[in-house]
Amino acid sequence: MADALRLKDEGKSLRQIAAIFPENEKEIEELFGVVAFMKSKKDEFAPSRSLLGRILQELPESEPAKLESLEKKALISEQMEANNSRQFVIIDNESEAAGGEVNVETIPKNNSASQKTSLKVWDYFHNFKLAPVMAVVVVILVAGVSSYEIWGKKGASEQPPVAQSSLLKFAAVASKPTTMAGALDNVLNSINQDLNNETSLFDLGTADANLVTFDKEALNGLTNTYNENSL
Amino acid sequence: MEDRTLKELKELVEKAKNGDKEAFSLIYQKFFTPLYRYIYFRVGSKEDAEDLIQEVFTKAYLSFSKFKFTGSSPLAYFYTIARNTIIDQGRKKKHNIDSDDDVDSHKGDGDSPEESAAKNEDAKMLKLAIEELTESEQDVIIMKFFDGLSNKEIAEILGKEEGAVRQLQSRGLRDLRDILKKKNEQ
Repeated sequence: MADALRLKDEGKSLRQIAAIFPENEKEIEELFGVVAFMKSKKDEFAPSRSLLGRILQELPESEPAKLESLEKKALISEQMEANNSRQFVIIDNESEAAGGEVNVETIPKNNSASQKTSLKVWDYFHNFKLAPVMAVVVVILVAGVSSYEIWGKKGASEQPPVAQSSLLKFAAVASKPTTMAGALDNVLNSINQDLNNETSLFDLGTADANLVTFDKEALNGLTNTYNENSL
Repeated sequence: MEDRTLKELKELVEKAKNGDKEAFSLIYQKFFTPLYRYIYFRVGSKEDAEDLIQEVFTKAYLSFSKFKFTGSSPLAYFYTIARNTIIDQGRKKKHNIDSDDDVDSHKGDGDSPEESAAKNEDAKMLKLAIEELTESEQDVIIMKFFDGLSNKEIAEILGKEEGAVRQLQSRGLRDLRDILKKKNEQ
């Protein structure tokens, strides 16, 4: 019978159900007849029409807790209008449940541009819209500070002394004339002078190479600074 | 229940939860009759049923902000409150069907006095027969065949499995058939 009722719930007709359970056809017809009888009589057990109206009239005006909250909201709203102030409302559930006062913090709404701007920026941060941009800014700042520290340290101790003046020295050496005339001493002097010049040029080249190495190290330092894991 | 009806009902429930008394009234109007009928069968007299349904609605009204719409009919919510109220108060059924005002609230329009009397007698007999069922059978039969709740909703209200609800239905219907047969023979 439970299966027959399930089939009835699924929308099968009495004939279809009886066909599925032919051995119980008589009982199924009787029981479905009882169901039909009950449904035909259900309006006989309806309440009097005036009862609903009476109950609704006698209900409390509104649900107490809800009413209290609504009244407080209305009061706060009125205060905002009256004081022209921005209000931040902190509702303490416990004190509210106990019928206590609702804490209200009032901040004068002076409409100053700075206040509005700071609030807007805060809202923006709050919504994480600026977060990616700020992350990039922070990385750049940290990288700048790190590179400054590297330059400072290396500038004092590791920077080759020739590096700064190498171009000046090269210009001075290049401008000196080489003399091959006259006596052997002059020739030797001239050779020595040329050797000195070549040595100077070699030093200048070495200094430039050191400078390149130094720049590379500095760049490596910058690369390390950009490592996100170290932030 | 159709999706559209459920959607409208959900909107009503949300309004009612926010203190909209008109929304409350509409919900009550929708569920008033089935709930009254359930209480009436369970307590057996109109006076007790009227007192109890007022209490049930007041309780539901005061706690409605806690109600969560889960897709089932809010009728289940009211039924649960009604059932607990009946149990808490330990109301006993009063078999006062001899009183003429017990089952006569809605006579069909255009019925002759004889037809009205016959309908009234049928209703009284049905009420008596249902009262002879066990409480669980009564719950299931009333919710299912008078108020049209699904087996799932009934199972939720009664805290039973759907299979158990189906068994109670078939057993209740068999008992009801036998009781009605006996009463017809008397």
